[in-house]
Amino acid sequence: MNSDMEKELETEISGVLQELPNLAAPPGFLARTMTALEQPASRRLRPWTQWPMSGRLVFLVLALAVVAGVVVQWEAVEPGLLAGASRRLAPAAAGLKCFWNALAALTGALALAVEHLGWGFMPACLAAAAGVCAVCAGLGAILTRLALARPEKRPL
Amino acid sequence: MTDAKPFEAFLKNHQNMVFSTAMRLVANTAEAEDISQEVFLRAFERFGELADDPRAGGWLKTVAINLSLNHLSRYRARWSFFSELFHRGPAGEQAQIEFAAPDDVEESVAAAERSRMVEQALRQLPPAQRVPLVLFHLEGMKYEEIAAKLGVSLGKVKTSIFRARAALRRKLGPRLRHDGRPGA
Repeated sequence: MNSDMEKELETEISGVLQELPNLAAPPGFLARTMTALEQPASRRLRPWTQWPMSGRLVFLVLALAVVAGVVVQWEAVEPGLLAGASRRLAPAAAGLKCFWNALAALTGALALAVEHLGWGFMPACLAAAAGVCAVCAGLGAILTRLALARPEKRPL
Repeated sequence: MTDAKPFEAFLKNHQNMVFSTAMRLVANTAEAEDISQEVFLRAFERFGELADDPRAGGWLKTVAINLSLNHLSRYRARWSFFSELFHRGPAGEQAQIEFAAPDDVEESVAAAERSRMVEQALRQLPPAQRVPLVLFHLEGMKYEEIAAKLGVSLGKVKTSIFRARAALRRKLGPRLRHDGRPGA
């Protein structure tokens, strides 16, 4: 098809489409939309990824605060005060408590080591850890290069 | 909190335009209705700015286009959306839409009926052709803008629009007059 015919076709179709009036929205659309506006709960059913950024940040902060509150309050509150709630939260918080205990034990061990061996122990530990990391990274790089190396081309 | 009454009037004024925009892109009434509702829910959140803004219609149209394109790319396989798989060729084309005999048209077929036929023909186009065609002819976008919006090459956009026009002419039949009025 030459350019004149293409142009003619474009004009033809453009004329047809430009004449189209707006389609009528379905009869119940107005009522349905107004109802949706009056029900804020329906808005919250949107996926978290579609929430506004401020909403997501607030939610994140609140969620972290709740988790931190549960962990910290676990040991602090009177056993009888929140006994009911504690019982309900116990399964969920058990894992966090284990993690917390492990962290506390490690911190305690570190404090004891520092107390007995002096502050010089810390730089020595850090240096040892850095050395181990360097050795691992070096070995990893060598092995990766060996694995990905292409056979050398030799002239025939 | 935005007052519902003024917003209801705003919604009444623009609902057909928003629904038409979505409907011509997604070609499905239920999906177009959902998209239109989402457009107005977003407009409600910004109604303070939009209420007296003469560009509110443009804002609504832009959001409707974006949501429709998001919907198409999210819920339909992208590979088929812009591939030629939808292009069934002459053998697979839908049957040509029957217009009334030329002599009867001017007397019996109203403009509304003609529009309905064109809308139907438009809906029968594969999305890969319909979407660029609608963006070009109805939304007034340039080829380059369409290519950027759809994430395809400029050549692909031009080819798709050309094929869409040719298919539309085939569907509307040889009675499509040169002044762009079908059925004369």
